[in-house]
Amino acid sequence: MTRFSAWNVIKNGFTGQSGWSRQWRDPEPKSHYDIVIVGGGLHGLATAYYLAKNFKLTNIAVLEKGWIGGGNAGRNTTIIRSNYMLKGNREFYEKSLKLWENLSHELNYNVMFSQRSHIGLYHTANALDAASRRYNIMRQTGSDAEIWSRSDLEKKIPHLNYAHDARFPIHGALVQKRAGTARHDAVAWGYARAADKLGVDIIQQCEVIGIKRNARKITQIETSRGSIQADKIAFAVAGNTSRLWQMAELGNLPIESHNLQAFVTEPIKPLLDQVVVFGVAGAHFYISQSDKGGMVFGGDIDWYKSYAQRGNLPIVQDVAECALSVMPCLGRVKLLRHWSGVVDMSMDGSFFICKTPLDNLYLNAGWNYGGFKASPASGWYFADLIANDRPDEIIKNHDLDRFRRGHHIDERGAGADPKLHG
Amino acid sequence: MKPRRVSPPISNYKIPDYDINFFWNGKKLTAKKGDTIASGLLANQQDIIGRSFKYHRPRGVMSAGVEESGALVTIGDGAYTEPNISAPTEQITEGLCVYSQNAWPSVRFDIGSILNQFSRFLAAGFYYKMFMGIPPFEWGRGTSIWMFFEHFIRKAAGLGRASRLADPDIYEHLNTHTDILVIGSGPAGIRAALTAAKSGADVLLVEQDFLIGGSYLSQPDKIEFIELTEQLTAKNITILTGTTAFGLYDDETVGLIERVSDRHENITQKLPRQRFHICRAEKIILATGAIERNYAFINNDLPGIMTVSSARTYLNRHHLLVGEQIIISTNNDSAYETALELKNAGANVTILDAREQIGDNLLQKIVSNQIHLYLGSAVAKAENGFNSASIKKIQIAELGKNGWQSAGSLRCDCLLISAGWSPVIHLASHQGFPINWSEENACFYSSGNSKTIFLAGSAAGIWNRQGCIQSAIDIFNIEANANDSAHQKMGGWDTPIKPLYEIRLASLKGKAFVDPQHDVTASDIRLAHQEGFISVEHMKRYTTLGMATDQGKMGNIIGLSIMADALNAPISEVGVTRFRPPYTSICLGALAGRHRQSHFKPIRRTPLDQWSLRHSAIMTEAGLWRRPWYYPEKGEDLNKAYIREATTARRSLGICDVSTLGKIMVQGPDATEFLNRIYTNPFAKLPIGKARYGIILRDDGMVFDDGTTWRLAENNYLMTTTTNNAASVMTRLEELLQVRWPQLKVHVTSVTDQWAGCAIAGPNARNLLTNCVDKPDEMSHEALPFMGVKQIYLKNIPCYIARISFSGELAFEVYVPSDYAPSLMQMIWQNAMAFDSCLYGLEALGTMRIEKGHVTGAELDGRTTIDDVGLGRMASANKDFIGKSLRSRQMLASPNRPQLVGIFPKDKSKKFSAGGLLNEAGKTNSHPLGWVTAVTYSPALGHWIALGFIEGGLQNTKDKQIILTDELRANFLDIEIVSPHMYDPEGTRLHG
Amino acid sequence: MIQIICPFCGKRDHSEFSYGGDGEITYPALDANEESWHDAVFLRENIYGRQIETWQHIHGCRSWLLVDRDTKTHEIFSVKLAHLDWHILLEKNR
Repeated sequence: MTRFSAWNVIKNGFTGQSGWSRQWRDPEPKSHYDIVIVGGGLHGLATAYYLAKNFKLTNIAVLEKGWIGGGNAGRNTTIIRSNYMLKGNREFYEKSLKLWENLSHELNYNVMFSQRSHIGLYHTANALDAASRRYNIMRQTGSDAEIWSRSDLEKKIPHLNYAHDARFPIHGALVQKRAGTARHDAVAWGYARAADKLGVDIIQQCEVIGIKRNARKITQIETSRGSIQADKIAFAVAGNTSRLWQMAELGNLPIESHNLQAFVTEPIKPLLDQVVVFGVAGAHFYISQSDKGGMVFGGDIDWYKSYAQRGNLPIVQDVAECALSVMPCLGRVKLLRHWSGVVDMSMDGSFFICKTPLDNLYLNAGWNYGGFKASPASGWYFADLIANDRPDEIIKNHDLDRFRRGHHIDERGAGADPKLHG
Repeated sequence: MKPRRVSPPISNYKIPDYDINFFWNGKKLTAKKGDTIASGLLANQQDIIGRSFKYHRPRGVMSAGVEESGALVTIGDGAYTEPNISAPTEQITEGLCVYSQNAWPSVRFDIGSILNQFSRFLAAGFYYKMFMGIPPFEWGRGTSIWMFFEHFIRKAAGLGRASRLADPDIYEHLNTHTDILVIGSGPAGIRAALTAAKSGADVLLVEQDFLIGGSYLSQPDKIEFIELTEQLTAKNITILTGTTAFGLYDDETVGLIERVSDRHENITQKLPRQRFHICRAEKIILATGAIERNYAFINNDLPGIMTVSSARTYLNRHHLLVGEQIIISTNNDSAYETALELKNAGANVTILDAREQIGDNLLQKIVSNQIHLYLGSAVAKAENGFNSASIKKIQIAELGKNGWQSAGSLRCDCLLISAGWSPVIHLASHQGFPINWSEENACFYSSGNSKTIFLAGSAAGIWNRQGCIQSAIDIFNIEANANDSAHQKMGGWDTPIKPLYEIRLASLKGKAFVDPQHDVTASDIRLAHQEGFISVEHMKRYTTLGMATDQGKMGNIIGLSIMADALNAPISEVGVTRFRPPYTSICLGALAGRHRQSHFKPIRRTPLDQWSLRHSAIMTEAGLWRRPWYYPEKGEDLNKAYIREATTARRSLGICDVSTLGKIMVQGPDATEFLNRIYTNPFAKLPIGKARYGIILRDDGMVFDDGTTWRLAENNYLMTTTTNNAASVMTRLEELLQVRWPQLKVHVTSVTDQWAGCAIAGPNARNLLTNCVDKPDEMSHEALPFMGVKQIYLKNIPCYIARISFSGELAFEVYVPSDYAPSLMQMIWQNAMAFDSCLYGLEALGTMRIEKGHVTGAELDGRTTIDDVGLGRMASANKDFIGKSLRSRQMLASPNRPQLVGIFPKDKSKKFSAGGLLNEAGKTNSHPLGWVTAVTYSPALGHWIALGFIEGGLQNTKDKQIILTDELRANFLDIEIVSPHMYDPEGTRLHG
Repeated sequence: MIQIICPFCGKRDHSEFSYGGDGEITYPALDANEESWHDAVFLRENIYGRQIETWQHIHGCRSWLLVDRDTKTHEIFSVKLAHLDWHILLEKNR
């Protein structure tokens, strides 16, 4: 496989691009693997990569019912940050951010992680109290954080809404400078290419249609491309976790599937150099500008449960109102497309990377809004869990039984109502 | 390319014909009323109008509609700047300023076009392969090298430049309802509207163009159209022009953007610039037409190349002949009428038809009109002139025994293409209706859902006008005879189309564009295939095909066919990506409407809002509420004011607006039982005329809300909630009563807005109120004991009064119907003058509650249990209540959970802030033991104090040295953990 | 925009309503054990297809409704008042 470098790009410029081959193979599924990962999204692919890389396990298949990266990997707003506060989440997302920082080199694939700063605006004096607790926890646990005053913001982000008639005037912002955005599709392809290079079979157009099991184990997976047996099986199918879980006759999960919309405008010349987040009095909005020039943004989920991958107008309207409230100059900028993905919303807004009632089944699910930024650490710790059959200390409470114990990891404090964990 | 105006045919279709002026990059040009920017610029011989996204290649007008991917411009100045306008769809108005974009220093000479010279290195996905490290071998770590390159890449990318100023225009929202919505006003749309209207249904006909007529407007003969427009005046037909149906949403809801006014003409009339209609229809007819396709050949993007139908539009609608030496390259019958019209208008016309034979009828017409015809021919390459970017010559490809082969060249000044038509099925795709490939017609089509969403005309793949019209009528016929399947078939040409997506001759080199705006070439698609990006979704994302402002309206199918060819599979197996709304781009301003700036969210004002402002209140935001924060006296800032207010209240008397508290009437025979189930503490034996503080848990056992509930009568309670949770508590109570416990006979009514309240606190509170009642003993301790509630007249104003205290002082809360609030407040305030008294705001309220250790949202953040805040004794062991079961789960009962405590600085002169962390000394490199939730200077104690949480609470931190770490304020203090009840812990002051 | 036919108010946009959650959860008695409460509060069937769910007509009559809706297509098959007695009464007097 040709290494990606400027050298080879130039060389191929002279040879009519003849030196590039498939970025990952298209193998026929084998009848047996050591590990089968169901779900060729970011989490599944990253898991396969780290299993191969960190544990030298390579008899692995990633099964994808459609095309890799076709689910939420390609539907998110590409924000990466680690400004979580609660134990477990804090360390997990920090690990993820660290992995992101070197991911392009690690994968030899430019995932375009741009550490352009994440700006969490606040609008009241009280909000500074909450922001400062988060600031202090982030700093104390080895991350970076800054508080920018309104006048700092006016200098650094000149086109936000500093008007006097703003409904919620900007007071300041909690800033994480190491946060930013990345090119979402490239991450999926980069992990796929790197995992494939280490010997992982990425099998597309291979839908799991049945699961055979006994009381302790899954014995066989039926797919649209034949039966597959595996020593260990891992689910990483956000949005459809419950369907697969029930296929294995494992009952109910603390997860609901909801629709999260995303939006992009026509490309315009650089207008916004950071990721800006706006949340006050029930409003919820985040925006950045892609390298191509489109303003990429989003807001709340569509409130009702859905597997439909399409959104409705009330959220479109809400989000546009927020957009103008944050950046009034966007009034004549035009929305190019909006789309939707199905996210696993969990009962406390935090994820699951854990063992399951079956000995050889492992679960990675419940990513709520946080799946994209989590993917490197998700793959890292999930691989560790699968390889060692025990969770790392950091994620030991991200299990399905945490609600039985009363160990909620609820960053929002919203309780057992999945739709409120946006 | 030298387009020129021709004289319009004599007809009774009257259009205004006068000159208007507009500006192109500052230069004054003249156009005709009714011109689009594209036709106006063409008429002024402007061949280069835009520059492409990646290679900055010069681009001219390529179409006459929304599919335009070449002629993108910026219009307006200053705050009115609007980038990325598709020139063929925007009408010219007097004085309109039009600018080229994505070019420097000018669109004719653009430095960026140097990238075209390096294009061999810039193939699809090149940026995934480099820029991550130091070139050429990508050395290094981290993101800084990428971010260095990114800076320049971002500058080169983007199209137009958006205004930096707030959009000054007004946008409106409308809720529109109709029986039948017809989208598109061409032959099929108009017929559908007329047919539907005959049945008496209300019909809304929307047209994206600023004129109705669709393809009628592009035809020379308008007799039929004029007749039809007369019928459209029927009362039950509403027509909206300049209105785009941008998206089809659930349950027959369509988003419409109506362009109402142009600022130049209507600025004085205060009309909105655009209206966003949320239109609900019973039935929707998509008569959205079809878009003519290009095909890939070398330099198919040169200025002077456009679709055949656009040349027809420019000729018949704008009376503009686009060239003198015109070559038409086609693979279907639709181009021939245009060829004849162009010939009649005075051009030399040559047709290359990819088909090897055509119908006799057509053939005769062509021959008799001296139009040259090459059968089995297409364009292999277009070439520009020596010192002109526009097309001058083409290389012809001819079908031979071994496929396409080179066959000489022809000179021309304009090349028109018709490689087939794509029905506009976008809206059907938004709802996920099936999309199928028609091999015969070389296009994708959809049938809607056959219940409420129908396609008619060329949107249904019908190519002749009569067929289109009949298809519109059939929709309503089929309805009448349910099983009648005799609807119009797709197609309608004499000789079938011959698929034509790419001409590629080994002997010719150059770029053949699939998506010209994004500079995606045929070889990019092949590279995507070579690298394994073979699914349409991967191909789209890897090459950016179809992701430009036109969203691939013209180019997508070419890309699919090249991929199909590479895979050796039919197009139907390659599939199609789902179209996403909006159909054409729409301004965010229109979607936001009037909900901007101060109208972004409503402001909730208490009934005392104006009264408080008159009494010098400074307001603060509390959710949507606006509440008095403090009442400064001369020269006071927040700190001075709140300290004075809290001091005065504790010393003598303070008065506070508490109207924002949620208030819910809980009434009915089972009201007592209901309250007893939702509160953790017992309510069964609350006497009439008494209030009780209660805590509500969520099902999961965490604290949901708290407040006092007053028993006004046997079955009549007034519940108060926190300001923040008023709405969610109300919803929760309704859910419990309607869904979970329907057998309980209880009715709940929110009265938050109906009742206003004020708190009167301090040692003189009773004295003040005694002065306001007729009989002084009405206010005695016996008549109104602690937690007592009753109705009372204060100076003839009927009120509810309760002796409850959030401040810890002898205090009362007085509630009146909202309309009485200002007079009540005025009366109380006048009587308070007799005492040492003050008004106090949210800040002083906070001070006093922190001193007392009373919790609010800062502590009850959805993660706290009743035990965490030290109120475990309020959870009754003798009865059941919501959350009882789950509140005692293992981890929630852990003694190590963070618990509410009071915090004093060891050095009493030190100040500190909320958000600081609590750590054991020397252990400040991991998660803290606790944190500070609320801080105040305590006038009563004479130093700064705080509430906070710390693991294990007061008990477990006794022998630890705890420090406060507030890196943000660079404040590191030794502190003392104390009971949260920091002032008057015995509560003696409550009794005055 | 999903259109919900409120039994009291008629056909209205879903933006007038607020989504509750699964309508077929049976909440145990208040004194039931932790396990049964855990299952009711934290576990979801998360149906792919038709499900009964609750909505409240929050900007209308404030009724809680049981809606039979397909989570794949958003199609609604029936709407009734969640309060069974009210539902019966309303049907009787229709």
